[in-house]
Amino acid sequence: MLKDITLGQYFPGNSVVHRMDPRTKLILTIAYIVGVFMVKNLPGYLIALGFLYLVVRIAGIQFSYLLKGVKPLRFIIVFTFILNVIFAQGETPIFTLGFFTLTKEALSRAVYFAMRLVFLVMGTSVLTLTTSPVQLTDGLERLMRPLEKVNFPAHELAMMMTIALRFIPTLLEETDKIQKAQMARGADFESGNLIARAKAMIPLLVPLFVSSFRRANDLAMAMEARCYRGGSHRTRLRELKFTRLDAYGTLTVAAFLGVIALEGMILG
Amino acid sequence: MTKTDKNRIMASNLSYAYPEAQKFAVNDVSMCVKQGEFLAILGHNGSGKSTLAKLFNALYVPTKGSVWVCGLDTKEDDFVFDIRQHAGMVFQNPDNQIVATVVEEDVAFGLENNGVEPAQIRIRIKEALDAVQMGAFAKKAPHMLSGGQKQRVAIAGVLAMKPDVIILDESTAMLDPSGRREVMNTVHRLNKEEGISVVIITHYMSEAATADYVLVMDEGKIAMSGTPREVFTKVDKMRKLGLDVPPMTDLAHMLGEDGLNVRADILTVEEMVEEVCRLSSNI
Repeated sequence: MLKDITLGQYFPGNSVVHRMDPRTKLILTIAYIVGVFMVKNLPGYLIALGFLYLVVRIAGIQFSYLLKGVKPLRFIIVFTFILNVIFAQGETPIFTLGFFTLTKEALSRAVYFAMRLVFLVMGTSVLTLTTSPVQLTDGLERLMRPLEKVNFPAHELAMMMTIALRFIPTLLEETDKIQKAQMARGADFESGNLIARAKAMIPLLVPLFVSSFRRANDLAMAMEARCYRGGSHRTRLRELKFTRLDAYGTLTVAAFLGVIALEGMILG
Repeated sequence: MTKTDKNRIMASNLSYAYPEAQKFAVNDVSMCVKQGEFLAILGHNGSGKSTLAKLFNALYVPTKGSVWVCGLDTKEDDFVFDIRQHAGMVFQNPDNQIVATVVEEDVAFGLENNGVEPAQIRIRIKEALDAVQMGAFAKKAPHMLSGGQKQRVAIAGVLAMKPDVIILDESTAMLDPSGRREVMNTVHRLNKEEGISVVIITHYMSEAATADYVLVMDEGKIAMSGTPREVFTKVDKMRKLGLDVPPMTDLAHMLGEDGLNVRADILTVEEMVEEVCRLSSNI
């Protein structure tokens, strides 16, 4: 059960999108998000949908993968939708039910909000599906590097992310082990209501916590023994390089933004 | 500075106490590791053997006395990173010393820290992984490897730094027998072929038996030292220190006590076979 958890759901491949520099992909994702916020009407979302479909096809990933990414967020999306329907102000009533009046403005607002969320999640999934976590942390580190001038710990953050990624499988394995050990001692993780089950997690979490600290201590020692001294003067095995692909990608996203802006102006 | 051209590691009157501890964990130890030597340090839990290893790597700084690694005093802050590059260390838990999510990147870690050029790093990773016969696993995720393979990756990480000494701090303690064999074979090969000095901290007598020289630690002091033959033949003394001897040495000792004229310095099964054949041919 614990083995199923994956972070970022990287979909290995060798497509044009996969081979783009992670920095470019990060920036373009932000640009895409801006684009989604510029959309004001339904045809705009169709354009965004078409754009996403195009990118995903180029990346050689099935479009259903993007929808899968939305699934865990369905409650949040529904929740936002309902909240907007109830609380948004409007003038043209559609129908009234007791003290509640559904207005046309509120409904359209709710639909757009929900759409916006869906498109945000789908867009960012394209990033995580085509970029391995390691590349992603690399890209982030390098994008944040200029901030080191104002004492922002860019390297340390990236190092922490790498180590976290590295230890996810190790800790999952350990959780599994502890769980079995506690079950052998009669611990019950499966029955009872939510609170009882949460309480049952304590004998699982305490040993896991303790051993994580021990691991952290060991790892710090091992890193020191291998001459670790923070980010300064450090070289990297994999150097990131911008290629022609990054230019193509940028042009594609720029075209998308242009079309969205144009569409917004025409249809207002 | 002392004359150290032949001595990779030299300790003189070395003592170390943990902060706020009353007793010295390592107490007045003087010893050396020569170029190309294979040294085993034995001792029961808490005898100070792991502390000693960490003093060799400048992870701990001596409370009294000094350690020189390739002529560099570990007390000098300026030498710390040079020392750690000269004396690479492999730890006990394979999971807790691998930093990166890909094997080759983990091997690169030390080189990246030392600011080696990417092209050079590539070459050294390949050499190091080939030397521990893990070349085929360069792109694999560490958590998919067996314990023995993980430790070999850790050795490769140290090897890539081109060290003069490799220190293994109970690196085989958490491995299964086949993993242990993998690691020991690798270390022996590096010792013979590349001339790298090796210090192994262990409580497996069979591993210590393959060393050139053995130190036995007790209460932070060196209790015994000598070649494996010299040390292990003193079966009673070893027992008193809470340590075992290799099974064949033990057998020879027991046969000797029963009045058989068996050589006392037998370490391996082969030697025992030879000795028994010699005895039976005499009858």
